[in-house]
Amino acid sequence: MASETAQSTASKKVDASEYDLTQKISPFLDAHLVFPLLDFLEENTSYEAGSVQRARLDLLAPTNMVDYAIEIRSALGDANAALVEGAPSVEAMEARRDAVFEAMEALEAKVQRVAEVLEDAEAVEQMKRDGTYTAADLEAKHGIGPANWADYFEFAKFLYECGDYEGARDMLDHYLALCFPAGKKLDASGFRALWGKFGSEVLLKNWEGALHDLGRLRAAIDDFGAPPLEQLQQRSWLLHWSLFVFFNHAKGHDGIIDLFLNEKYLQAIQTNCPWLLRYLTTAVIINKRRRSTLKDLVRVITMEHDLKADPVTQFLECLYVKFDFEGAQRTLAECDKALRSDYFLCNCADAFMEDARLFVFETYCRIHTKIDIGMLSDKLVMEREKAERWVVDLIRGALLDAKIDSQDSCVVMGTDTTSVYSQVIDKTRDLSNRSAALLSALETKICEAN
Amino acid sequence: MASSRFWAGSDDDSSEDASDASSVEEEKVKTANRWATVSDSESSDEGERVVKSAKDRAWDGMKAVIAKIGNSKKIGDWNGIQTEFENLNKMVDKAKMHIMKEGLPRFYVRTLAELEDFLFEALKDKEAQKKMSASNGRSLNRMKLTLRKHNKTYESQIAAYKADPDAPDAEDDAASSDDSSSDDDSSDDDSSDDDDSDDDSDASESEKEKKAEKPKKEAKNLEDMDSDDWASSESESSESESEEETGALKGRAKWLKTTVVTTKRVKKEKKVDPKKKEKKVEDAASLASKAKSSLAALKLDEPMSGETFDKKLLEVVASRGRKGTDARELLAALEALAGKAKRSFGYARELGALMHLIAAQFDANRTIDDYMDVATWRSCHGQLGRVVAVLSAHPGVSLGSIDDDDFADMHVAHALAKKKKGEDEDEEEDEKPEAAAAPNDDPDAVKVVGNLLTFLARLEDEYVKSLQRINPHTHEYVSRLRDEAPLTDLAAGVQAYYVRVGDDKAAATVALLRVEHMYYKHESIASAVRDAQAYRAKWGNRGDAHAASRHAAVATERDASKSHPGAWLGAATAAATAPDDEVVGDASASVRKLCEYVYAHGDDRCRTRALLCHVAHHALHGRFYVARDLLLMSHLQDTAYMSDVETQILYNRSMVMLGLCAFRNGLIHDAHACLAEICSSRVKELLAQGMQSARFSDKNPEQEKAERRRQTPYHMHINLDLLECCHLTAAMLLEVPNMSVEAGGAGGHKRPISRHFRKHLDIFNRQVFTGPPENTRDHVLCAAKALGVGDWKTCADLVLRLDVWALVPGAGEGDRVKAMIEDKIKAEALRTYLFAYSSAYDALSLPQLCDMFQLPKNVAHGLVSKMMINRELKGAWDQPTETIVLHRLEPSPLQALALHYADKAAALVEARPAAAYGDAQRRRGDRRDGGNRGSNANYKARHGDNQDRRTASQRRW
Repeated sequence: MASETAQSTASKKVDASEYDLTQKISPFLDAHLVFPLLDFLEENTSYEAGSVQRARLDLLAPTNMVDYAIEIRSALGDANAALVEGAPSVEAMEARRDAVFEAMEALEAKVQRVAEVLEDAEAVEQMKRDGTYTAADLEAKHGIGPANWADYFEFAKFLYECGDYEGARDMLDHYLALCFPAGKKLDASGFRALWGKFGSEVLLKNWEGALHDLGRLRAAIDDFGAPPLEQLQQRSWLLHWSLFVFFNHAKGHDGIIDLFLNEKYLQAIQTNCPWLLRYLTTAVIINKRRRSTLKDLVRVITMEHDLKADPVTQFLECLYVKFDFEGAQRTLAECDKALRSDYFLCNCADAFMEDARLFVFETYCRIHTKIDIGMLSDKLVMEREKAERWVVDLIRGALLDAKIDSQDSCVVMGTDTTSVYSQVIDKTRDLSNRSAALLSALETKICEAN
Repeated sequence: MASSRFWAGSDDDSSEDASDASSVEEEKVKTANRWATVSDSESSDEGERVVKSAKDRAWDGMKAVIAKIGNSKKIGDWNGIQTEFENLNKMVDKAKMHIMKEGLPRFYVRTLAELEDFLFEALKDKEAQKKMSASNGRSLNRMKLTLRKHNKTYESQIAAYKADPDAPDAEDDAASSDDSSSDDDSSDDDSSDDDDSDDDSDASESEKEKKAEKPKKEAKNLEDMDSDDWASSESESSESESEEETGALKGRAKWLKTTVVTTKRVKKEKKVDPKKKEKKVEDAASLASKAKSSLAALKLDEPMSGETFDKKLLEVVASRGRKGTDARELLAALEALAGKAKRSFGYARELGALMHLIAAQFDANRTIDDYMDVATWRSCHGQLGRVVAVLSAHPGVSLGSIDDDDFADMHVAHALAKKKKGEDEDEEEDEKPEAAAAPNDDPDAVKVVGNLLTFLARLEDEYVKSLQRINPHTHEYVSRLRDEAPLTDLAAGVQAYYVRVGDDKAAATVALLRVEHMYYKHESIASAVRDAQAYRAKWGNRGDAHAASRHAAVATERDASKSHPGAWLGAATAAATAPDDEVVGDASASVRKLCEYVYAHGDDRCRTRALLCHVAHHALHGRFYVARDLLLMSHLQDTAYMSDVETQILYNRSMVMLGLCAFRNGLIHDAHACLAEICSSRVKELLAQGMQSARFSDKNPEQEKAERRRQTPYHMHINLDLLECCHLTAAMLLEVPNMSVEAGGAGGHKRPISRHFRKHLDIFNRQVFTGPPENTRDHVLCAAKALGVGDWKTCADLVLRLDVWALVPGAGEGDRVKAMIEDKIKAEALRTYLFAYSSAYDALSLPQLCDMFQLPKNVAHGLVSKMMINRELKGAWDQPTETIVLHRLEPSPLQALALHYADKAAALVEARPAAAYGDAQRRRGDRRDGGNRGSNANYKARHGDNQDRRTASQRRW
């Protein structure tokens, strides 16, 4: 399931949205996960509707959602000859639909026994309470063996392909809980089931469950012991899939920083998908509590060299590597455009702009004693009045040690030179601690010696 | 020569004479036999693989010496007798083991007895003795003494011999007397009788007859002398077979039968031959001439059947490597055979012959340090090319390899065929020995000697070796370089073959070989070379074209009064061609393709080397990030020091190229990180670009030779001057501001970035008299001094004045690099200036700074801002006036002391735990490493684990 990547082959116009990452991201996503992206594109960007539809049609080809495909195919009609070229005809698809139904019936029959046992939620609850909710008990009581479970898994996958994510999720839930209870190592099909469940949760927008599965998958990838190249691939997938969770879940902004800056995943980003740095950068900028990670991020960005196309990382580079405030200001406007046309980031575009401004201002203040407000408003892409009010707010909020010289319309920064005394204090602060530690270490050593 | 011709001539006679030889078949058998015997006779001077035992070899050696003694005896050369006698005794000594087993060989005893008699006679003849030369007389006397003493030990045997001198030879080997040996003996007798009766014109013969006491023995001797002791050697061999009883019964029977056939033939021939005996005697002396004659006598121009072809080939090959075989003769014979095969016998035989020919050519140079001369190399190349062409023309054909067993089988099959023909005239004429040797293999596999991959590798090796030896400043070297493209084309063919056969590993090895001949060339050069190559292939030497035609365009109007007729067709052009998997004009794509193939199929070493070549190629073309990522992804830094020396050299080369590439791209930090350790010491050795003078090296001659062997050919050299220049410039740009921080007292003590640079700067500063800069290093050091005081103009002038920048590959690259360096110098000068002199100012205006350092405002602003953020410069911008306001903190003496004290205390605490745990040493080491890690943080960060290049390099050797 996880291995299915869908390449959206839509003939997208280049000028439609120069910062659109959909084409780069989609190969790393499951076909089903691309649909929300396409929906978003259709609504928010200037892609031609027909081409998006066509992309959708191509996406649907390997899935079992034939009805949906037929619908789109009919909508596109034969008038749009260029767009439907190469796509199967409606008749072919209808034939396929019948085949799908047949297959479904066959599978359903196979898993009937298992389904009956697990269908009744109350019974399952009862079992859980009794502690008989295990594969062994089910085998003893209902005669459900490994073969049944394999069928069950197949059916779940089939349902997922058909677009019945809820059904698939529930089934996979049972499957995972029964076949791979906590502590048991996942085998290949368990691994696939986990990916499937994660996908279903995402598609059901059940972010809590998805976050949980994400953690499980992350551990599973490390445990599974696939060859390094495969692991790298899986990590790349996980990174892309996780975007859905992180930008929708309340705690996602911490999670994304943790995951993306994890060494192994960082490596995956650098090797396979440097464009994900946009998301990481955004997350770091809008996450006020995680300023410490900024340094790491800047380091990563200086190492990457082909990010010129991405305004978000470029912004950070201008600000923290080149100290080119004009450049930062230029890119900030681009960032706004880019974020608003990004499926994942559109919700945090405002927050980003706000925080980015603060970043610029902060850095600016650090190296200036006197700043012209007119200049400042320019740099922050704000009106003069608004900028002044913004600065005043900052001063009042004690975020800024500064005063406004209204006659020259300047912001005068307070000098924050560290005094010699504080320097000495800084330097000697941990001496006593370390001495104490040393003493205790020595004592233990002496004890050992005796 | 004569003997074989003579055999050949006799053949007809014998078939006429022979009562039972009537059919053509029979004739063929005879021919076959003749060849077989020639080979047998040759094997008498060196053991033949299949049939000879050590004993036989010893016996044969002794017999040869005895024959020589006989010769000397005839001319009364006591000197010769004495030396040969000593030789003989030495051999007997050596063969002690066999003698103990077999008893003393009768022919030895016979020799002793004869010598005794001869000596006795000689001593009696006082007059002759007087006529002897002084040395001869002395030898005679000495001989008298030694022989007497010597013969004492063998008294009983000699007595026994004297009692019954006519006893057959075989009785010596009493245990092994059997049909064949008696048969053989009778033949001996026969033949010697024949000799005796028929031959009287020969001088030696007549001399022999004078000493008629033991005519038979003498005749035997003569046979030996002629070294055509067919029968006896044959019988010996068959005896050895039966004695040792190693062979299976079948083998033994076979051999016995063969012997019968051979002896009979010998008898027959002997009967007819004697008339021509004199000729034989004349020429029969030297073994070498015999070997030669055997080759020349193959009558290669004669029409032959496939069967005979195979036999001839086998004959020729059997003589290969044997003492006295003239290599040229051999090659000529093989060449002729190959040509013949090409004309008339189809690919299978041609391949076999070609491969033999190639193998023989590689044999020619004896020591590892010799290189194959160019002509041989080219012919070798041509033949390999032919092999590849044949292989590609016959898809479905593959090469198998013949191992020793196969070879032995071939000989057996050979003999078997002989036997068959002799007995029932089997008509399996066309059965190849190859097929006989490998009946189970698939029919398309042609079994050949050696293997294509090895030959190609050898060929490449010879090519590189020749480049190492030839003086690079000669025309010879340049013309040698022209062979590279044909070599790689050949390799492409070989690779295609291996891909077809499905041997991916071999194909990958070949692909690597191709990459190694491509990676060091810049695309522009590579394409120029390709074009020139194509031109040469089509039109010949460019210089040979008429001057008028060289640069002419195609003339529309052909009027001899206006333009030279030679120019009418325009300048000759030729489109470059390339093997299928190479992209014409796009070396990068070709290299990538080949490397990817190696990555997919090669073994570890191949992959490593391919990767390094790939990195170097990227670096050469300025794609620093691609190259760097490739290198880092491979984690090669961790393992480079564990690989073989050649790979380490390649690693160093790649690393240096990467560093140069970073430098060209203005990535000073990366450049320095890449170059620092290789350039700091022993550059020449690390890059294998020239030897250290022997006086200063601590290597023994063996190591030195090995080093000489792995030298990089001159045309692949990385220019050391440019390298040093880049390295020092990078070090200067990093180190000078760093040092000024120290001097300015702003940042306290800082770790040196480049110790190498600092060392040289120290030496430079300590010079009593500083003249104008002469070499590269002087220039950079002078420039560094200027940079130290912020004088960017002098600095830039000094650095850019160097000629080496012209060596930067790529058109216009040199100027671009110069401009880049100038910008960098300006920026670093600004930084240095601020570090050094900011304490002297209250405020600095940006426009003034920009003016001073000729920097655009935003660049200067960025630089200064960065310094402020990093707390390197204590100050802030006053934005409306564009000035830098410096916050001066001059601590009072007490405060300064307090700070100092705090530092010391911290240092003490830092040192304490280390001291307490007794691993101070390790700690300090760690710290230094840690710092180093910081210096190439770019490389660390990506794959965080400890890939400390420095340690890798330290263990490089």
